[in-house]
Amino acid sequence: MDDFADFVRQALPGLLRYGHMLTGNPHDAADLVQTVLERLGARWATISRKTGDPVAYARKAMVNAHVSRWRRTRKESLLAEMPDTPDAPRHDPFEDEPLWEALRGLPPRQRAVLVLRYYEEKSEAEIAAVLGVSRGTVKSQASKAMATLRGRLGTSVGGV
Amino acid sequence: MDLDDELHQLFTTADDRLDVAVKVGAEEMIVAGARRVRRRRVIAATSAGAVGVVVAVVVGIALAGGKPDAMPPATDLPTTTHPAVPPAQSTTHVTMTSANAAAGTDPANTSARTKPKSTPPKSTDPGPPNLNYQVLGPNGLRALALGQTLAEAQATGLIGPKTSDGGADGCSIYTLVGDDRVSGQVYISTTVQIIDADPVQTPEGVGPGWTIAQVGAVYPGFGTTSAEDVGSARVPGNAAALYRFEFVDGKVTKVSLQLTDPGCPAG
Repeated sequence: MDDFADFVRQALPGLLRYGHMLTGNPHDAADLVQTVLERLGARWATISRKTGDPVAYARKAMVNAHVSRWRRTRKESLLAEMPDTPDAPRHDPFEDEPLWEALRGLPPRQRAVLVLRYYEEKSEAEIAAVLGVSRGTVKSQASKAMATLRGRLGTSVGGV
Repeated sequence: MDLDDELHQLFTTADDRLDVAVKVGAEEMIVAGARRVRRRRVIAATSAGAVGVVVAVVVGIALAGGKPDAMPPATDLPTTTHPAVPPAQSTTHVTMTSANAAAGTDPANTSARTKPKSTPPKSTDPGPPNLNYQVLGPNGLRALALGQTLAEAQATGLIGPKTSDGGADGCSIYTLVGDDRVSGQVYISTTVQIIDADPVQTPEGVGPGWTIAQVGAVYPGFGTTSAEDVGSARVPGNAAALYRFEFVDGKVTKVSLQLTDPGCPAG
């Protein structure tokens, strides 16, 4: 378990940034990272033996946990499109970033495809493997996401 | 610039802004949470039928993002670093960066002092219930304390029969006995790691019936899971321990006391 503690210490900041990128806000990021790391830690001996790159394993688990959590809760949270409560303004380092705002409105799977493509610079085949879907699905999700973003940016003030 | 380039630029230059502030002790709480997940899994697998389906409960909220309104506002935090402050008295928002992780610095050494808030959050709040239960914490229950050896714990008369054997490096579970006012169990590796007792209250008076906001007003750094079913707080006066609160419908149903990093790796 000491080994796992070391892993958490080293990987936590990076995984939190990744979670922030995936979920669009620090609170969901923290929640996602905690959930995934606790599960991973409970099986650490097996996982660290079987995978050479636990960070990549954790990232993959985060993507899938995030996408599937959304799938399960979609009905309930359909009305709450914005993850942050509008009446509790907080400092958001991305608040003047129309693209970031536009990304917030994407369904998690589409957003995940973009994160994997632009942040992790993965190929279509790699993205398909992480998400457990076909390359065709990756392609269609990506083009839907891009179309949505273009639409949103086109109508937002100051959008390019 | 086309969208493709814009996305590329945003995602490759965003790193600084993506940093997420975490509370002091975040790593320890994740490790402790993993142990609890594992222990529950093992207990569920070994005690036939007795436990039924045990959901892997997410423990603790080490991460600052857990519950924004349960945290003291950031403006309450002076920026002075104050390493001498005991952890139990301090709430810290540490923004971890890859730089300090790489340098191996321990964020727990950097603490910012904040005053514990003891006033109820709203004036219309009727206030938390006044309880008259046995007190759990800051060290244990009556003579039973975290960190005692099995023999010391047994000498208190509060340790009953063993209900689960932890094996070589795990926690064995003993029934809590000898006090009719509480029931529960005690997790012991070579020493006492976790005390589950019910009903109890903390020395601060927190216990069953308290709301999440009321608990948060007492313990700086308190937070819950997003499902608001479990929360945890550092124990004032015992830097090595955490209170763990279970909630149903936003109110405390159970309080337990555990070491911050209980040594029960194998359940």
